[in-house]
Amino acid sequence: MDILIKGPGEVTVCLVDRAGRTMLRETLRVFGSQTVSARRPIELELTTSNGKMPVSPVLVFRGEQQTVTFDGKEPAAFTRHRCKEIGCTDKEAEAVARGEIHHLPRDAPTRSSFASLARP
Amino acid sequence: MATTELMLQLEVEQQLSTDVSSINEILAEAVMFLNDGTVTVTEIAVQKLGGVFGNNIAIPIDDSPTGYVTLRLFTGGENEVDFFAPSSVPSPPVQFGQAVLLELRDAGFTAPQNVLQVARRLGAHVYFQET
Repeated sequence: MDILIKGPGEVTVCLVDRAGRTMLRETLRVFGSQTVSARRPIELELTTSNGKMPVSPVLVFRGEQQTVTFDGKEPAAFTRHRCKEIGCTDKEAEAVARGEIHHLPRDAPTRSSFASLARP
Repeated sequence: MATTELMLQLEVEQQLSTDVSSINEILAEAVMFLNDGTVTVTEIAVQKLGGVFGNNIAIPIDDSPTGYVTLRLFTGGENEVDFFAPSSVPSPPVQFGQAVLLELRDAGFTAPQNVLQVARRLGAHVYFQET
């Protein structure tokens, strides 16, 4: 799937499983002219120790000057459709499309861990 | 003819759950359209923070310390000129610049179990002139 961003600023997207748990969080920052665009292709399937896991993208944040599409579609509509594909109920899909997701678990690296991860 | 100073920046910040055992390659692109002028790239840079580590053992296993950054300058038809980071020396001028595309790449990894943790930021910028 392609995340397409038009306009300068910052966009955050999470990939969530059917329970709404965040498996991946990405922030894309693009700056240049007012007409700058960015593209980020992502896989909608992740591998875990239990095998392949289908995931759905969720737009968590975008800049005021930006428009974002998922494969050319409005993000919430894409998320709703994809969530149903991976096994969410209608109610769960609606909640995820509104951005109601479980963020990364406590043991996952966070932004502050860039500085705190121990080196040998 | 007037010279326009231009900038293009792109950064990807990525964090993964430690449940994930296969980490896909990073590929991201930013594009700007130009006015068919003569383009000189004055600086292209890349930087990276964090990476891929062994879960709970903090052993860095990332083998791509900088990522890989290319500026692709399209000059009509299928013609393009590529510039690689880093460089702070002005490039030779290139005529008929129609668009520039800044491309970021970083390596992917696969582990047999969920033994990886990922927190990485990869950023690049390019300064250039169009005359």
